[in-house]
Amino acid sequence: MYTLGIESTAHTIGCSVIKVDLQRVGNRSKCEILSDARAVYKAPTGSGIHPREASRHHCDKAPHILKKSLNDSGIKASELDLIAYSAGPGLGPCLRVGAVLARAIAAFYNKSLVPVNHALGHVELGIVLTNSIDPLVLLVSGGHTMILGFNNKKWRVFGETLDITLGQLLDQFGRAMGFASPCGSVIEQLANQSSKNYFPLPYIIKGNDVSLSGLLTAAKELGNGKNIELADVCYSLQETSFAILTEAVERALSFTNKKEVLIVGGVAANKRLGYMLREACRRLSSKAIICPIHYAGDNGTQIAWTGTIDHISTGNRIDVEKAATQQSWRLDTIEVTWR
Amino acid sequence: MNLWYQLDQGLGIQDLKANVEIHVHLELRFETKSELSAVMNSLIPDNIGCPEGLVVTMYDKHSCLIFDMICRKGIYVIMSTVDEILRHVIMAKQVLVDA
Repeated sequence: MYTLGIESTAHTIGCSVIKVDLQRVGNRSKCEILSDARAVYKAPTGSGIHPREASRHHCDKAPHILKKSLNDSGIKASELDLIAYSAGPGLGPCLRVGAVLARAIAAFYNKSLVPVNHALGHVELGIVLTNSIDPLVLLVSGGHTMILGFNNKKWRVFGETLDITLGQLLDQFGRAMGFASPCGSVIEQLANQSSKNYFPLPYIIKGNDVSLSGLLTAAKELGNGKNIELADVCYSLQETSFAILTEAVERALSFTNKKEVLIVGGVAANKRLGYMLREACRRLSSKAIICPIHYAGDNGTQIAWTGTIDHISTGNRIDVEKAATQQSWRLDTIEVTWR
Repeated sequence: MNLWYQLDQGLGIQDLKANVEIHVHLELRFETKSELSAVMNSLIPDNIGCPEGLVVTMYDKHSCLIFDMICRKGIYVIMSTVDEILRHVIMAKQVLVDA
């Protein structure tokens, strides 16, 4: 079975073709990735993502990305069995670009169409790529900061941010310091170069939920202060925010007694976060698993894979004329019947 | 009152931000019926349930995809709407040609 996945929730327009062996779906089938093409909208330095500008970028790039994805896979559009698109959550104008792209191909070639929750896509792709069994999942990106565990047909939230996400924290701090977005890798590089001079910053954890907006304000004030090395501020910001999340994960791990922690989402690429989580897992006789970096951020493969298992397991499909998008769509509202 | 009437009266774009009913009619010609049908279907879900003050009607006639829009939310809203629709049409058409 060949599936085209289309991702366009925020800064990335991505198309991917995967092959799934139908015979193995009930028994942990493998996801064979035939292509993964993407283009990323870059906001002007100091600015965040502008939904309309990002959607214009996606409209301009989409034909080329789709063509590249099909060419790389060696599959013609007419040979596809299924088309999956990210239906939310995300930025409205960006979501609509991916949806139009998916609907047009589905309508023209008379293919089945499946809407996919973007966050669920991160989780499901991470699981299949790492061969995880029943992990506690830490989803950390620009759009999400959630700790998730699967129970009784749903991914349950065992902790989340009460305000901004970890990706937003890093990005907004970086932009305030004059970095180009996305800023996570620059902050990580600077933190690695610092003299490990730690400045105390607000450390807020409420129950198992975290709050990062006060930390952002304090870090920006510190970063704009005189006679302070920016590298030390980056180091302090990383240490504080990652310690908050690690504590929340440790609590969730103690509560759920899971034996694996899977880290997915764009911030999973941060090596310091991975190290801190690995140490926490080691203390609790658990294993930290990090999604392969290339697939940690937004991509069409996560949509293709999740759409495929949903379609095969439940027969889920949607008419083109009804294939809407949802800017707000919580992961814990989705019934997952294939797990 | 339509946009052209307002402009005829010598009013600037600032005056068109609100309190004016703007009508827009778009006709986009397609080479094949199948392309026209696919592009039209791909746009339907995004153009139903528009915010109050914006009405978008879409239909096909002969080989044309036709949009009739009425906007009471100011000129910037209708400009953005037309911009988005045209970009989506161009993208969808290009994709069908390439794929």
